[in-house]
Amino acid sequence: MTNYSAKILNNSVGALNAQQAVIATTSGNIANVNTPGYARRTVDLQTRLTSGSGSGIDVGNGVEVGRILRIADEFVERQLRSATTDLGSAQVENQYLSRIQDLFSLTGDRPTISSSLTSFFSSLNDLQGEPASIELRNNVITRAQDLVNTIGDTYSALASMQDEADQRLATEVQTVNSITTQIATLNGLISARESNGTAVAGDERDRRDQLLNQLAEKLHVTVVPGDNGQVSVTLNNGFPLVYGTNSRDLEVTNQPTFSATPPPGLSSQRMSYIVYDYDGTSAQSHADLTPGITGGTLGGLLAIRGRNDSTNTSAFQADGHLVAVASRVEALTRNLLTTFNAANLGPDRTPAAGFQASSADLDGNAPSAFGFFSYTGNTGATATGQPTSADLAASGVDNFSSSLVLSVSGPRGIAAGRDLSGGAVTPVYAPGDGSNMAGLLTLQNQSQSFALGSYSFTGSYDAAYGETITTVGSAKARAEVNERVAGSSKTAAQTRRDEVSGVSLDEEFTNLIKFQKAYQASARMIKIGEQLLDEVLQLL
Amino acid sequence: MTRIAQGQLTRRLLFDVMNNYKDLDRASRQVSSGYKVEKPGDSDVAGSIQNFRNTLQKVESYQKGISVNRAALAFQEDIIKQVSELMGRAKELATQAANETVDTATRQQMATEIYQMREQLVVFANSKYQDRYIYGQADDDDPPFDSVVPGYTTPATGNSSTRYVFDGELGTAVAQSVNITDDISVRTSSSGQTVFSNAIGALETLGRALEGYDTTLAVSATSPLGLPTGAGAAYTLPAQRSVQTGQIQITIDMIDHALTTDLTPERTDLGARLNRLEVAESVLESTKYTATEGLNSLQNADSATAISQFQQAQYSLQAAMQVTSKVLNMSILDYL
Repeated sequence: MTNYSAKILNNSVGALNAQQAVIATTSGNIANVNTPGYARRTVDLQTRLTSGSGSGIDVGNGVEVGRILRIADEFVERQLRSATTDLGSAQVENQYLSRIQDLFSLTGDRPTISSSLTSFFSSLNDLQGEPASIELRNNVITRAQDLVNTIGDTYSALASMQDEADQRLATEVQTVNSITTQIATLNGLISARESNGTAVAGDERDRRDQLLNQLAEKLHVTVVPGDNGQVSVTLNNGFPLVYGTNSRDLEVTNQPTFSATPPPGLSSQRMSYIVYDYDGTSAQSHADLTPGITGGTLGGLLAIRGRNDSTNTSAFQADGHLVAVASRVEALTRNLLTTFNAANLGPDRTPAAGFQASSADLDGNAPSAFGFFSYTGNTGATATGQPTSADLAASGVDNFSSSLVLSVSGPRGIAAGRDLSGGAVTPVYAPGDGSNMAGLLTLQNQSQSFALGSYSFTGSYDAAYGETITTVGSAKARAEVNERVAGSSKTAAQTRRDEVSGVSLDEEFTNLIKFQKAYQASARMIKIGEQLLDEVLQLL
Repeated sequence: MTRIAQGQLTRRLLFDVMNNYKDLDRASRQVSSGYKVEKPGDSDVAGSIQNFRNTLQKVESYQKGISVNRAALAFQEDIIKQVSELMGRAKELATQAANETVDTATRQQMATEIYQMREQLVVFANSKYQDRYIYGQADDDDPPFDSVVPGYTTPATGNSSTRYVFDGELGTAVAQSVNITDDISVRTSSSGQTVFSNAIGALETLGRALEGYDTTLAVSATSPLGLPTGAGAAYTLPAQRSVQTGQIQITIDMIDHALTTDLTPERTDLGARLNRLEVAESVLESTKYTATEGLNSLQNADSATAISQFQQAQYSLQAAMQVTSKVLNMSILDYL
């Protein structure tokens, strides 16, 4: 015969325990309502099974705690990571592009390359009307110096942004390394705790999910769940960052072992590469991971800074927003150094006897090949007497924009006139002759070709600048849209995650009341059980 | 059942409030700066905006050039007008003197007046504008007409021995010009030789003839009646009186020639060039208008629209904030 009295007490004690476990879990949930990465827990209550082989009518054995469940959905987590990666890169790109577009203001509140160029040509036209005027000559020099300064400033701003992005890569990579190390450690803890098959290392998993999210913000990674609750993390190209309890540290270096002379950056400082050092000693130990890193802050920084193949020789062979814009500035500089300087020399005075400039300054001296614009360190050597892009290439200088200088000696040194002798041994000039200015002025509206790296454009200076503006503007507008889209898709992904894993206080409080009442009821059951026994005892 | 967790709610509300702030920021910038496009990324017509700006900058510079050069051309026009009047008076004098009844002494008195006119003419030809000799063209740092003393071997001294020649230095044939639009340029200088040589030569020949000296004339393509060479002997008067009178009559033709082939065309040409400046000016004015209008519509914020957008942004931000505070304040705890 079954002892029901004992059963009442047993069931009630079990129930007290179970309700307490639920209330404790609820208290944990409420405590972590604002903890990032926390996934709510629920208690899996189940009926207790009959132990032994009792016979008779089964009135039930009460309740017991089955497992504590951590409510998380791996697919939702994956969506969140992917959205985080997109937002990471969109934010960085948008940030840098808005700084780039500041250099090309459209409101006329500060000089731009375009306004300086137009002012410069206007000053040339003024001088053409009155070529001997020292005042107007001074004005040309001022405007030309403004142009040189604006080009230099614009280019330096782009170059220092590239350096800055390059340095940020190193900082970000350190963060990535520290995250991957922690993930590997947590992998070990989780597999140890979960080895018995029923326990869930919830806190460790919360922490690891949070770290994976932080990692996803830095770069695009693939997370694959493995045995014992461990995860492995790989880059886009399959390179493993975390496998089991091991992690691999990335390095940022501008002296990779795979290239003796990596290409320079815009500022002539070498480009950095993200590498993995296989053994740290041998000559070829670096593996270049730069191409495999996409998305996230790192991917965004690389998209801004540009990636350059280590076999290239020029900063302008790289891709990236900064390089694209800087190429356009540099192409203009090179045009000034070659086409404009060549026009400044005028046509060949003596076609039969090698090139001789036909223009002359106020003192009757012909300008040198780089007689209007030059660059620091220029030897002035030319192959033909006229400056050409081949001469620039032979100089070994990668960018001329940062070292562009005005080489006109002074107001009298502007070559406004041309030889009037018709090719005599000694050229003759007239002070009021502005015919060389006319030659320079035709350049303003003439279609020319600008090309550097992947940039190529044919048109006037204004048209070329317009194209630059459009390039910067559309990149910025795209980045803006990308950031908005990525922002809202991350919010959506977080919402979906919260829907599954987030703590709802209302729910928790409702549970609290429910289980508190159940606890009270069970406690009352014990009292009733006691009373039942008392009744019997009083019979004695 | 869809679960709504607290975190989810706050995040969503915060995201909306932030977006509303962004819109408000944009709208308030439009109102305060007056621009709806400030940076290339603000619009896909940034290239056109830049073009309009370039156009306006150029137009401004061309307009400045036009007003400077209009003054220069008006100055030249005034000179030519005075020179033409001067030549007209010289012609009257020459016509009087050509009368056989005018005696030698009177002719000599008239010569003094003619020489004064010649000096004035040379002053006009050597006139300076903005400190440059305008009739020297590219050679504008020294006077285009120089006096040669003694210019005539007979007589050895006095006005009739002075001769003026065009210095003909290199550059005097090179005209100065200036661009008044992207494609049109206008000449701002004229050659002193073309404009003044025949006139000065005519007055010189006339003065010498009235004083009683013959002047040898050399014919050239631009002066078919000839310019003084520096040779010429004294007339034997009264025997050669009719020869003297004949020479005076030749100078009348020379004056007419200078007026009809040099001075009048120059005056007409100056008028035409001034006219071109006017035309260019009005073209620039309309270019400026179009560019300003274009810029206005592409770049400037319409204040009524901007303000109403600002108010709209303000309302939606307020609404979002109210909703946020209401929703976040709700808790089941209040009912327990």
